[in-house]
Amino acid sequence: MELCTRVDQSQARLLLSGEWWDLSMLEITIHGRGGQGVVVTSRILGTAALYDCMYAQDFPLYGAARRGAPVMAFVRIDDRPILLRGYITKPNILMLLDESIMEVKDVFSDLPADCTIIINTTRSAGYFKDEHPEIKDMRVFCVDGTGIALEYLNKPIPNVVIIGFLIGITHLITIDAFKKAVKDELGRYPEDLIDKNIVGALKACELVPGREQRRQRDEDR
Amino acid sequence: MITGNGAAAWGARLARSEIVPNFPITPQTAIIEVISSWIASGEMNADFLPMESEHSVQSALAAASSAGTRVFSATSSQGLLLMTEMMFVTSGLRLPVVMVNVSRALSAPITLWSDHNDVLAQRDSGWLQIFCSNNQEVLDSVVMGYKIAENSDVLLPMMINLDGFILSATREPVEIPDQDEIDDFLPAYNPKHTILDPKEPMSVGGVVFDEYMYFRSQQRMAMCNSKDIITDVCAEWEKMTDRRYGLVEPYCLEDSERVLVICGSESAILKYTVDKLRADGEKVGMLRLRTVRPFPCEGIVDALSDVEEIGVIDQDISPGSGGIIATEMKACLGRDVTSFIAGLGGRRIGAEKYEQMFKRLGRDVEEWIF
Repeated sequence: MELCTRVDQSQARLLLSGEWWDLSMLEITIHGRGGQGVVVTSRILGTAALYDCMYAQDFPLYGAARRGAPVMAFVRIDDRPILLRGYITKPNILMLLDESIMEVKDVFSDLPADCTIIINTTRSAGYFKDEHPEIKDMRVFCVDGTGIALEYLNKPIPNVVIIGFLIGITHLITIDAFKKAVKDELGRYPEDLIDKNIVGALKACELVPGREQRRQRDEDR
Repeated sequence: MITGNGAAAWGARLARSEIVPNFPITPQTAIIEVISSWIASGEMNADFLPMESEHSVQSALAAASSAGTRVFSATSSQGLLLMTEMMFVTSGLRLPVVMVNVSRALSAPITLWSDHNDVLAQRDSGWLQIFCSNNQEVLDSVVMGYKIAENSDVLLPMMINLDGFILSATREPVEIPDQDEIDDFLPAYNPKHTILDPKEPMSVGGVVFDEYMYFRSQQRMAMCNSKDIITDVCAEWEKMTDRRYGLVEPYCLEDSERVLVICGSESAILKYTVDKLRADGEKVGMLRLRTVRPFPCEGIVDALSDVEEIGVIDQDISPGSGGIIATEMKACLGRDVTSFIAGLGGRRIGAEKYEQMFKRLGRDVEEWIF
């Protein structure tokens, strides 16, 4: 991996709950099922954050992992060295790569009030807020990541696509760093599959509601 | 971004370990997996020796080291315990083996999570024991480990301990030093003692009677010598890398009234807690024991002499006695400490429980923090 040489402070910010926050210790929890790329998701985010000259920590939580079993992974990102360790109980961002996880696990309990939730689904955010009153006041974003993955990669592996969607919402990592990180972490796969993943992710990034206005506002700042 | 496992493997690669005996199934970690892929691709020039058990791995480590090569292996929890018999042989023969242990709780019942009872079960085996707090320290400690273990005033095997999952499976930024730099720092192993060479035959590990006690006394002396050698090697490493290590790591101790003592990677979360409480004006601090063998008594007394209340956190338990580190701390300091048993089997401790511990200092009791 080439070393990070550029420090761009403007990226050390994050859009959460509609406001720009200075980045201080951001914690992300990712749920999904074995085979969907949960662990790779955390690794791409960690590597990309490092390319963006931030400190990062990423780690999976697996027991007897197998395809289809619930898997979790975590990422911490900060502009200072990270002292916290171990699994994350109060994430700023919760990513669900598989909506059926919420049937087997209580993924929404005890979330902080300003948690941003991203769900891979064909349903709407309103549906989940009705079903799960505890997330009624949180920012919930839905994306048909599996649909986009099928369209672009011909494979139902939505992880990279959903990271694109996450970038669209939060500007958490730069597109440049994201692309480099995907190439690092998917390096063992054929190049055209990596490229298709990135194209799908950029497509998802554009799908974020209000993205155009936000970009305009960002440029005005 | 590399895991603790990856960092350990990098340490062995940079130190140019020549022989890696291993038992490549559970509870083995990814350390051996990474090394095997490097050996297969030619990136690491070493012999990969799959053995039939950890007991045999330890025998092979001792044998290969006796033949004058620099050897490395890694193990974890049950695997370390299976090595026990041969661990004493390796240290008794005064062989500078470096081995990494990924500390995880012992069965039964089974858990995959970190816990220090595996490594502390080897406390009296005559091995130097280093407890790491992050992945960078794992890499650095493996390289420094050879330089310390191979020093003619030491000649003891060294175990580098990293916490399962919390470090072993967690990726974080790690700086990988240049091979040239490491080659200057750590020249090739040139054994002068315990070497099996057909041209100059030598018998080692033979039967003794009254002499036995002299051997043990020399081992003890070597352990005492190692304190200065560790300090010197760490100073040399700091000059090269700007990263400081020692026998203990004090944190915010200058004006501390209340201090918690800890080993291993949980120290990072404790530092976070200290920062948080200090921001509220509380005079709290931390002392991390980086070496448990040798037990850094002088450094501890030095660091804690002016502290009013001391607590010791043990991620281990000696049933019938108490926290192992707490017991040793009491013997070293000659005063009462509050003993906290926490994080057994990787049970989450978290900043809020460290805050709770700081509040509960001051009594000579053993308290279990669930």
